[in-house]
Amino acid sequence: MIRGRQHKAEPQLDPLIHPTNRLRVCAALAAAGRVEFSLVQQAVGLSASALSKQVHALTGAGYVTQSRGVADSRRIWLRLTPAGRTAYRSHLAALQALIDASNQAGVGAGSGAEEFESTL
Amino acid sequence: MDSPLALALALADPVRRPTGPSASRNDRCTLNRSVSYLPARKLLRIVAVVETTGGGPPSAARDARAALQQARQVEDAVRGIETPWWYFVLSAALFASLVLTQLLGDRTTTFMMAVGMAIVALNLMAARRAGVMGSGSHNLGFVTAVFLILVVIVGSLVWFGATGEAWTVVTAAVAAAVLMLIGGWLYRRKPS
Repeated sequence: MIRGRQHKAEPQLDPLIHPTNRLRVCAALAAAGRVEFSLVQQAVGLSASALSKQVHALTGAGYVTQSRGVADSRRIWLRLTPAGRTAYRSHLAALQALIDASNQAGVGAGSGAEEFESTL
Repeated sequence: MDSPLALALALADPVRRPTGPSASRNDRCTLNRSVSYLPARKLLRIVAVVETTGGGPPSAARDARAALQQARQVEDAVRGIETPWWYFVLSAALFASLVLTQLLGDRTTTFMMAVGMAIVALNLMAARRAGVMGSGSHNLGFVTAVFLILVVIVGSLVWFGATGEAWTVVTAAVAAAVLMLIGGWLYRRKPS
């Protein structure tokens, strides 16, 4: 039981979400329940075909579902599934952990990491 | 495989060499617990590069920071989409109407259903117009306001049913409208 809890809490980098464009798509979808395709396109800054490709990859993994509008079937709505939302959150947590580990390593080694970060 | 972040994963994770009969096959070590494999000779090459480069945080941390920043920017952009002002005004009017339908006597149920459908239609229309439905992060102010409106509606139904005093319904209608407007004020955000 304890082992299961630990496994659940452990942040993991997801290779499917890791590419920049897919991470941005997931970020756009994580911000709301359902987001219209053109709005995601606008937020992410991709062409329709490029976004469609990324969405296809995420849909194949079960991270995203897409549905057509009831009133207007030309509009496509995208939604992050619970599995996708969990994977995305876990990925962000892993990125944060990586940054924290780097910061700690910098402090521990007494290097100029803080100065370097301030210049970024 | 050779992205800085993946390399950092290799460096961050404890290197585990397989033991037992298969250990001598080649000195592969696991990367991020059995997802992929990284030969030790490659790892040594990476470590050498990182050790000699120096001069700041590893590039993996920089990549992670940039990725995290981008994700947050996109999230904020989608969250910052402004809900149209008329949505909250019309919602306030509809919720007030919903309460006031109690004064219609026999036709209360019919009109209450009609107003309920109008509220649903309004929500769909606003969502369609904005291109966003639902909220990934709950707005506590708005959720509280909606909860209080429901309490006011149920309370007025019970009170009016028991006493028959019309002023309680009117007061409840005004209260529901005000709560909706306050909730909308709390919810509405400017585009980032």
